[in-house]
Amino acid sequence: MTLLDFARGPAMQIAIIIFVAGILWRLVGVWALRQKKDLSEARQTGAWVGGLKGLFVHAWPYKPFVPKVGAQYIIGYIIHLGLFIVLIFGTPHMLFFADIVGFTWWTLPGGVITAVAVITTLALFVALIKRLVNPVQRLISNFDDYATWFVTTAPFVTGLITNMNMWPDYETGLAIHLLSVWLLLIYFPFGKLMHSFWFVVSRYTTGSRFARRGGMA
Amino acid sequence: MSLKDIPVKLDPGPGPGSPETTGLAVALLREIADHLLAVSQGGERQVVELTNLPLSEGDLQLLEAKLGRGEVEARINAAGPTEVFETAFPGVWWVRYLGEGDRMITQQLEIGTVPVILEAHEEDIQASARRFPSMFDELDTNHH
Amino acid sequence: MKEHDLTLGEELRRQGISRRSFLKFCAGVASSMAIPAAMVPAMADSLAQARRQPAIMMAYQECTGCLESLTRSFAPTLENLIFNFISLDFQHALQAAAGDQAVEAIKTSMKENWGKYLLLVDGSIPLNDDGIYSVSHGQSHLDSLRELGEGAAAIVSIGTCASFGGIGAASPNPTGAVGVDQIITDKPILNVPGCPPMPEVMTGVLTSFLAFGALPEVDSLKRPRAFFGDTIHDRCYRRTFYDQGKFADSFDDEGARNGWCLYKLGCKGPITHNACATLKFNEGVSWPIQSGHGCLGCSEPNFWDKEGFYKPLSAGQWGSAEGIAAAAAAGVALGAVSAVMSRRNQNKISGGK
Repeated sequence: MTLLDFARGPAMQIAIIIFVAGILWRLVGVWALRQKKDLSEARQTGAWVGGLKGLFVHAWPYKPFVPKVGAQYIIGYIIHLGLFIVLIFGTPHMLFFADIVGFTWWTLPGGVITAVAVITTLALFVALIKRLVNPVQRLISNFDDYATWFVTTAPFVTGLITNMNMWPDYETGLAIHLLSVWLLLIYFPFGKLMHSFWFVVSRYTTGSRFARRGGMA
Repeated sequence: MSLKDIPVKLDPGPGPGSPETTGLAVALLREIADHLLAVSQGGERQVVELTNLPLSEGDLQLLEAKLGRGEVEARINAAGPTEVFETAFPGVWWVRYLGEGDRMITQQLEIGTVPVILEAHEEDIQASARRFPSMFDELDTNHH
Repeated sequence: MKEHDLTLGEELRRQGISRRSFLKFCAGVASSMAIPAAMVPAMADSLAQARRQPAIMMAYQECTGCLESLTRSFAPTLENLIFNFISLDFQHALQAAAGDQAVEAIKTSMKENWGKYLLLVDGSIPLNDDGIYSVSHGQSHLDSLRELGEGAAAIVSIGTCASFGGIGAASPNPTGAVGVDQIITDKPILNVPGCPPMPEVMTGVLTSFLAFGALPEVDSLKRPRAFFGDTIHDRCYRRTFYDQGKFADSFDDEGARNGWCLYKLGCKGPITHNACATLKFNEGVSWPIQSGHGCLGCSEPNFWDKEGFYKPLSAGQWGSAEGIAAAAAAGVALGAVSAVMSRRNQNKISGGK
């Protein structure tokens, strides 16, 4: 069995099993906890509207904070949008998903995907440098932050090397790229990458609780 | 529905592609200029292999147009045809090695006094020198 | 004078083949192997000094497709010169002799040329049950290869079967078929895989063996780099369409008719190392991708068992849906257990309130 066969077969199956089990473990584990009762009387009805508003209000910092954290938000958006574009509109990636969902969709030319991936990778490195340079950020960073950065960046770097065919051996390179993605999937449920599920939950919860108490979310 | 209703399109393949030039032709011309200068100063014969370069049809046309045709044209029959012509620049030769059905095997630009393939080889000359006198035996037998 | 005592140059002159033909042959080989054109006269000189190379070609568990392909490079004119370079002492499908006489030819050649002959092999070799699944003239091919391999100067495995086991070794591989280098480990071995292999590669390999006295530089799978150094994808004339994102979605859509990239239809070009994208088959007539079909990856090990020729390269192998369902159930259960434990802990801290 070559490394590529391993990456496409057993490694992928194991990674997906850990990913699915881990995500459900975390989601059920948190949701099945005893919910905190809000004993106060609702100051206004329709707390859920506030919850939904909360999803969007927190998508951009409160105005007075913009000069301080705006750049961080922009870098974050570049990373997330880049990740989304490369993942969904890169032809090889689309075909990977098409194999599961059974239909194909429109994709972007390879050159565009490469450019987006390069920009995203640069943004990831800027984010890391910011984290290392800023004393406060460095102080509050733990292993999880660096591990999360690593497993996110590795697929981009290996993917770009594969796409530009800079490996000594393409087949092994492709296998390394796949394995780096499986590493991301395996780490996903157990670290800060879970924010991709929790951010919706936490923003809604915060928004709806504030709304119930008469706040603006 | 007849067979004619099925649209058939032949893929010409990698051969005669774009008529655009890639800039490679100009780079090649500069290389040839360097070689020619070296040879003119008594340097060794130089060969530029064209088949392995990603030249477009436009590139080849540009090369042919710029190099032009000179005084010599030759066709060699040895293991299939080989076409040789001198370009408008004496000392720069275009050599086309062809196979069966004039299929291109490889083509080269040779910079030197005469392409190697045109020269009679030393050992071939020796062999023919040995063979030549037998002609007189025949002449003698016919005479008697 | 015996045939083997003549140099190739003398031999060719005796046959009335001029040095020009010889030079032309070398120019063709040099071009296909990316040997600098200025080296051609030196290569021809060295080749002229070489002795005629004795060679024995053995057909083991094979389909003769390789031989069909190779004889195409021996078509009249230029390429048939290669036949003058080797003394093919045994090839069961090409020679007139059969039975005991043919076997005698092998024995004689082995004895006369011990340690000097080139062994050419096509077909895989079964290992199971002492190799009894593939036998010629009462001798298993396993024994035959061991015997012939011992006296060979070098071995060339022709085709994917002799190189990697090929179709004979396809799952579940009932005969335990393997390639030559799984059995012989103490000889220089060169693999020329492909189903069929490219005839020009054989011409190039044999010529460079005679001219330079050694097998050419090889990659990690023992394939000559000059021909197997690049992937099909890198040399494909449809590569620009891949870069532009123009793909054929089925074998009869607009994209297929316009000759766009076949990646979505399962082309294995990006992971396949071979020279057909540039040399093409049947004397340059065409090759699979030009005829509208994706690359099968025939020059790579186990190409037969790679989950379908029409499945895109990036698709994974999913295994069972049950596995994922079980994982989901396990995740839910784990979550429920940890929630119960947390609740119990909460009760303990709050004193049951």
